Amino acid sequence: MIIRPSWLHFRESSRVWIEDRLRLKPLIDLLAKKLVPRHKYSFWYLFGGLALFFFIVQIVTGILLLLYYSPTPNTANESVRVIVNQVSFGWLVRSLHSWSANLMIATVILHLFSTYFMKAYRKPRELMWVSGVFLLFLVLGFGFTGYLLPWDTTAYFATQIGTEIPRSIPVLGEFIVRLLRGGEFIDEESLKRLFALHVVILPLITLAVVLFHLILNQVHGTSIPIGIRSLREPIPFFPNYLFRDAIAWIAALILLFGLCLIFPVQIGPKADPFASAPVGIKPEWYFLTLYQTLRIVPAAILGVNSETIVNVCVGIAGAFLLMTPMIDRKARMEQYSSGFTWIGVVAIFYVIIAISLAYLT
Amino acid sequence: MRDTLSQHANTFAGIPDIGTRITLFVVITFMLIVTILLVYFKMRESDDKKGI
Repeated sequence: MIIRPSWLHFRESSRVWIEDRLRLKPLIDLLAKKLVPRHKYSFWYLFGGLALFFFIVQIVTGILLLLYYSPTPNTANESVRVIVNQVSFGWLVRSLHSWSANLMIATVILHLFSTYFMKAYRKPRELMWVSGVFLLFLVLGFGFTGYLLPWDTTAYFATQIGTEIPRSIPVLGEFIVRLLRGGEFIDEESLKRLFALHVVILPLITLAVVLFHLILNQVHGTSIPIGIRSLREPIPFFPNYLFRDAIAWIAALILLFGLCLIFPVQIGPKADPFASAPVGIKPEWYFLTLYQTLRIVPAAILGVNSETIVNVCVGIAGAFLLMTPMIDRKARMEQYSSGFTWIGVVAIFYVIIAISLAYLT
Repeated sequence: MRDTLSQHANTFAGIPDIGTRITLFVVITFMLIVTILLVYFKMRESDDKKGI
């Protein structure tokens, strides 16, 4: 007779108890059915999971910050100071929120570029690509709307400049500025609007799009790049690939804690709307490409305002990103489209040069 | 509420010094590396079961 240790008996009876009530087996079978290919570029598959991980960190730390944050111009800066100075580990939670936001945007960009270069947007994954591009827009929206919330000098004036940019968009510009600011200037209304967008509207939309993206990922599986032959057997997503994802998540957590503990996020002095804007104010790194482009384009070209030109170009670039699966006809026919690869390479170089110039000048 | 917040905000306790933060980082990193090793062994066990 085999005598099983009590903890093994407890584990088995717990599993049966949960299975009897939740009926998770069909879901686990479905996850196990999805296979992840193994080839020389498989490493890049990890970035989608990492972006999801940082999004989860954002939700958890965001909820904790929400317990103390107060969204009015009189109390916003003080409440963030209370979080940093008075609440136990409040400084760490705020740093985790801020650094994981940066890492989330970076991993979403890396995931998007790797998907672009592997042509993973080709049939039947067009909608996965479109939802992914929407997720990039959404995470940039999180960055923009969260920036004003500490109500310090840099945040105030950077948001004032940032919300001014859409004004030159033909037809819709004025409407967008008033929609974001809740009036003509950055004041209590703007803070309330950006707060509502940051903690309710954008998270709900993002959760829905993430769910859609994940369902499509489960339905269509992981794409293999054109011309790449998988020499090894693909592995089941559950549990084998999930373990690899988990290792990447824990490694990302080490990086995140490292950044938070070595470079904790500070808070600047409370914003004074009547003071003049500080010299040399710059946006966050993910908006520096747009910022630098606005600086290098002449004030007017053929009588058209430079901001209008840049806004139209950004619109065209966004539309190109969204429409890539439909435009890239070669990839649709499982042929390698080097033209699109070169567009991606030029885009990467432009982003790197623009960010470097913005930091150096 | 505003007065209370201002009083609290100006009483600095805040971010610990770099020595404390590095100690915290070493402890957290050690725990997470141990967790990575445990997950890695579970992964190998699971791969072996599937013949991967």
